[in-house]
Amino acid sequence: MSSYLEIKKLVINHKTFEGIRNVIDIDSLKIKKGKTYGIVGESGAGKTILALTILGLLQTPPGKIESGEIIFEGENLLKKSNKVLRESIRGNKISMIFQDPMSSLNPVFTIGYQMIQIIKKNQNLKKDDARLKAVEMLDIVKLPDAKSTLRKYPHELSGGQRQRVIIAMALSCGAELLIADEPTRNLDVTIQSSILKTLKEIQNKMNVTVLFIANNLSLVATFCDKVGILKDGKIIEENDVHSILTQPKMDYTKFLINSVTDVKKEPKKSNNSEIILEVKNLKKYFEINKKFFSKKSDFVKAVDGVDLTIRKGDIIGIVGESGCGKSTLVNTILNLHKPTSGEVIFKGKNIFELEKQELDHVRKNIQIVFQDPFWSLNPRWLVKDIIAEPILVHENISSTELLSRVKNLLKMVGLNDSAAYKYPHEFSGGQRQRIAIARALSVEPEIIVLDEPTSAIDVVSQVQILQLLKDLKKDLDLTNILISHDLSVVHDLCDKLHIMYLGKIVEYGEANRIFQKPLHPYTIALFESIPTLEKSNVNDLAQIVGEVPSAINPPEGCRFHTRCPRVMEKCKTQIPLMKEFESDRIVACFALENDYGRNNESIK
Amino acid sequence: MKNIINIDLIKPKIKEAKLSLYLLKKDKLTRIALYLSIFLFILALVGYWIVPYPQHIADEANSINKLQPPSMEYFFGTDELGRDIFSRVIYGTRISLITGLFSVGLALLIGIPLGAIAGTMGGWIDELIMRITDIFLSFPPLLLAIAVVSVLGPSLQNAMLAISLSWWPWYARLVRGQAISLKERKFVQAAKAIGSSNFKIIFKHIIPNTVSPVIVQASMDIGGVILTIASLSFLGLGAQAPTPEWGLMISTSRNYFLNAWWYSIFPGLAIFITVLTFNLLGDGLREILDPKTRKN
Amino acid sequence: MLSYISKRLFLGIIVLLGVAVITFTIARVIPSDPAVKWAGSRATEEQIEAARETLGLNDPLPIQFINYIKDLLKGDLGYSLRTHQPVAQELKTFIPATLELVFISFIIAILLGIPLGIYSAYMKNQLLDHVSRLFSIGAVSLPTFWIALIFQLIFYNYLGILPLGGRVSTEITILYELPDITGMLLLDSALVGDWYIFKDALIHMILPCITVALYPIGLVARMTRSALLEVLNEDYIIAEKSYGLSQNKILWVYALKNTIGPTAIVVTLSFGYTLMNTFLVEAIFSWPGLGNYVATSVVTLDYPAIMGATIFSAVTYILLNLLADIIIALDPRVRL
Repeated sequence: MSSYLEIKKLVINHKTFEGIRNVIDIDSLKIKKGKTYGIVGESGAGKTILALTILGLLQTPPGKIESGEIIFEGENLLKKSNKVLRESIRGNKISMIFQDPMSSLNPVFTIGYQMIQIIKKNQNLKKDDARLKAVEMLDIVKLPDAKSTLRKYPHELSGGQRQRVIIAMALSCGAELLIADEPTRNLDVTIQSSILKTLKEIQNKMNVTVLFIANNLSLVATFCDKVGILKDGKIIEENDVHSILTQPKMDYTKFLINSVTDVKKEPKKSNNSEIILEVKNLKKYFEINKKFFSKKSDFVKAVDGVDLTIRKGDIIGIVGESGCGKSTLVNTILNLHKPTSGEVIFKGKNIFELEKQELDHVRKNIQIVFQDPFWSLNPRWLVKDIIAEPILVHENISSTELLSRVKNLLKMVGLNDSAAYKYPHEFSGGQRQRIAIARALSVEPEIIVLDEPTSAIDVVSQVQILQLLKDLKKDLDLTNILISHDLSVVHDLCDKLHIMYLGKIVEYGEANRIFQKPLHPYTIALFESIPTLEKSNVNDLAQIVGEVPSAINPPEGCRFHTRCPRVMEKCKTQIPLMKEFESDRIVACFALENDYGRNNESIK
Repeated sequence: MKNIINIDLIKPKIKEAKLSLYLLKKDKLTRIALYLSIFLFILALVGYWIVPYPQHIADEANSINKLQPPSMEYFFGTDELGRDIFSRVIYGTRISLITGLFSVGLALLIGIPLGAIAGTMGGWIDELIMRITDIFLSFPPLLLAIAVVSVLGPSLQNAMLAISLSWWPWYARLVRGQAISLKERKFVQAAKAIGSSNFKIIFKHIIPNTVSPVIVQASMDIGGVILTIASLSFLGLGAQAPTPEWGLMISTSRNYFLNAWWYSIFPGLAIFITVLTFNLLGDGLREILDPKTRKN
Repeated sequence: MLSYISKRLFLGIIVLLGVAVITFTIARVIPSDPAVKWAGSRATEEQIEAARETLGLNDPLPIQFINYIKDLLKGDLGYSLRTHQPVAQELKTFIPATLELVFISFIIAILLGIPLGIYSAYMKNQLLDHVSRLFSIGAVSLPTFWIALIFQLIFYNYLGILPLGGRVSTEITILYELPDITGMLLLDSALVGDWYIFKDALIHMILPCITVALYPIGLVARMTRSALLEVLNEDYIIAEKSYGLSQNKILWVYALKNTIGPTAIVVTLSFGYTLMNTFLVEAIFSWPGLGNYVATSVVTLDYPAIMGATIFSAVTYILLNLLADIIIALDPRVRL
């Protein structure tokens, strides 16, 4: 059977001021009709460029197609004029699902207007028929209340809803080949799994061929039939999913597989050292929407009654999806926000009641590494100044001693001396994170907070950073608070784990045991939504219904009850307390209480 | 050891400079503007020494040669006091450039810190500074200048002061906008978490990162400022006789312009060419330094 | 939306108060004695003292300020030191002429500038773009008063087809009674149906309007171009292309609507600049408007007159800014 889409010897170059750089060099890529083909590659490997080129939308200065063919339904797309492409290919034959739904939707037109225009052009319908079709499409992607969605503007929808709209738009063109460019990249895991399932259903029902582009091997493996590994613009290995995972040929492929495979862990010894940080009933509300004349305003209840106990030497994980409040929690602990109520006790003293000098001492001992490796370092400062900043604030030492300490720190994080005199933009994302870690270590703090330290960097660097953190823990006996939504990172590093949802902690315990047997329904759903190599099919992914409720008016009773598969009447009105169910496993859930027969005391 | 330090410091700057030069090469108009502006600067520096009649710049002149049309002796003709217009126009370059740079400089000096403080601190400080900015902004620049000068008395210095007073709010606004988005950046949060003082954050973290767009805006403004100074002098509120300021010359020329066209034309041409050069340069610089253009 | 507008209005009033403080300070707290000016250069000591009483200069400063504000609210802008007429009255006579000039020049600027900007953006880096870039930057580099003189030299002196200045030919003022409904001659003569005067007024407006419009045309073209270019670089434009929508539709509907915000700002700014430009050229074209009035007042250091004109301009600016703010708030993304 001849291929539906075939790419032959495609070479694309990019003209920069420093010369010509090759971005795509694909010898052969064949996609069969009705199948799902996945491309895995890191950022910058050329994925989006490939997608745009198929549609003829590549920006031709600075890009240039040197040679090659893209054969679709027997004809070479590269030889067609823009006019022909627009009329017959774009939309009605091939359409694209874009990566960033916020920037891919026109902000000043309603969803309905945009969809109707697309349908009118591609399906040749009149306005009213097009409107009906739009509603039909929104229903297919499982957007609730399609009619009112049509009247809304993009910014009025949530991230997940916007992504569904983008999918609906791509589908409504009536195309038979869908190019999905990292369609779930910015979405939470639970939303992602829901969308992937929907996409698969649609694909089967409407017999659509999908070219699925992602940077995550597990994701592609779960969703696709066949996989191509894209590295530096070249497809280095290509095979059906099962064969690639069991018999990888190239080193890079093996490396990718290893990085997402869980390693067996030994059980950890329990830690009885002193309690170094305690958080008691911390609440942080943000006021918004204050109208000029009225007295009342709305509150975003970002953190709504959180307790933590952290012992020296532990690595504590805080896990949750976007909007759960983990970043706010940490920022409040760091005293970047004043709390609405509650206490944070460091070494016996409530940090919100300290005098400036004592507060400085606390600041010195709790340092932070942020998620964003680019903007967490001042782009106009030299690396040596960046690393030295905390030292200069808290200590008084000579510049020679300062320089030697900076160099030591660079060595500790695995960077060269010469890095001291460079600017952040000269380093890769992973290296910038090392600089951030060096900065955090510079005043020898007792606690280091890491806010999503590996989310924004490539796989190779992620592995290195994780190793670095493990080594540092061993050498320096640091206490760490790690925030992440990436469960494999958390599993690898953390001793204890907190699961957070909508401003509250729902489960707490030793990390290993939670991974073996999660108790809270949300934790269960969370773990099961994550694509792993063991899940060969989208059907293996869990699906949680609904969207995350807004933190402005969180649901009454148990926050999770609107999406919980085990919801009972009680859950809708009463708030469950954190109770210990097994030794050191603390969960807040009424259903669990029923399971365990209510013979446990409530702790904390 | 010292050598290594210096090279390392310079290398990143060299790369940025190379990119700028590359983009510059592609833009003919901006290149021409760049050469012209260098030419104007040289003219401002050495003008006094190369003109044929330096003594005419002040007052002394031969009254016999009043209002002569352009000739080989007097390239641009003479004015009502017999002074060589060519020499005065060339010397005027120095006046215009210096006053332009000075006014913009003063406006930057006032505007940047105020904007940075307003944007970073927020709250009532922000509101206060913004109201003050609004007040200054609701005076049309020319009118504010008129008001200030009519109080302090017409002179070139007062005109410069007046212009700085009407220009600084734009820079404050610009910097404030930058500061507001910058303060959400993680390196500022990191500095706060580290415990750096507000003063340090504003002056060492925020301001260095706002400098680039502000400088670009300022270089685009030099042309406009020179034009405003000429306009003020034209109205009699800036330079006073016998200073060879272009706007003033045009104003004086009005009395004779139907018969002595050269008197009005040449100083005005000088204003036009100078302002055009700086505007083109500023516009080109903005394109070149725009991070989006640089990414490609 | 209502809350937004009221907040803006409230802020506007505060700003106006600040402006009043500044103008008051300038008008009263100055070196030379207004009373002397009022009384004239040959006044006696008693006459100067009497003048001081009339002007209320013997009251303590805070009282003077309160009276000043009270007067302002009544619409009383004081008396011109030169003519002894109420400033408000004089402004009323001169403002319409300026407004007439400003409106027409402004409309010309918008009608020419916006399309020029749009086409430049669309044809980026091609010949049309470079030419229009040179033209627009050239337009904002021209000294308005200089180009006015050049136009007069060319069209009056050498070609003799357009008048030197004024609003109407002198014969008409002698022979006819000029209609006076709004104070804007062009409008009034059209309303009355007197086409002879209308044509004459029109001819007199050509040079001043074109002169004044040049700067705003350049400004509007430049800013429209850059606003549109920014939009054309956005992801959603590529997305729309991928759905197969037509290039025209994308440019004129999808892209353009996103430029409402910057365009509103440009339009208000250019109105303000047009106003300023008229001040410069009124003297040259002997146009009996606000600019001429201010110019004379400045020369005679007639502070109440200068300050009156200043307050008027400030109020105009504040209202323009309010308008711009409202237009920006029409953008659905702006959360009120």
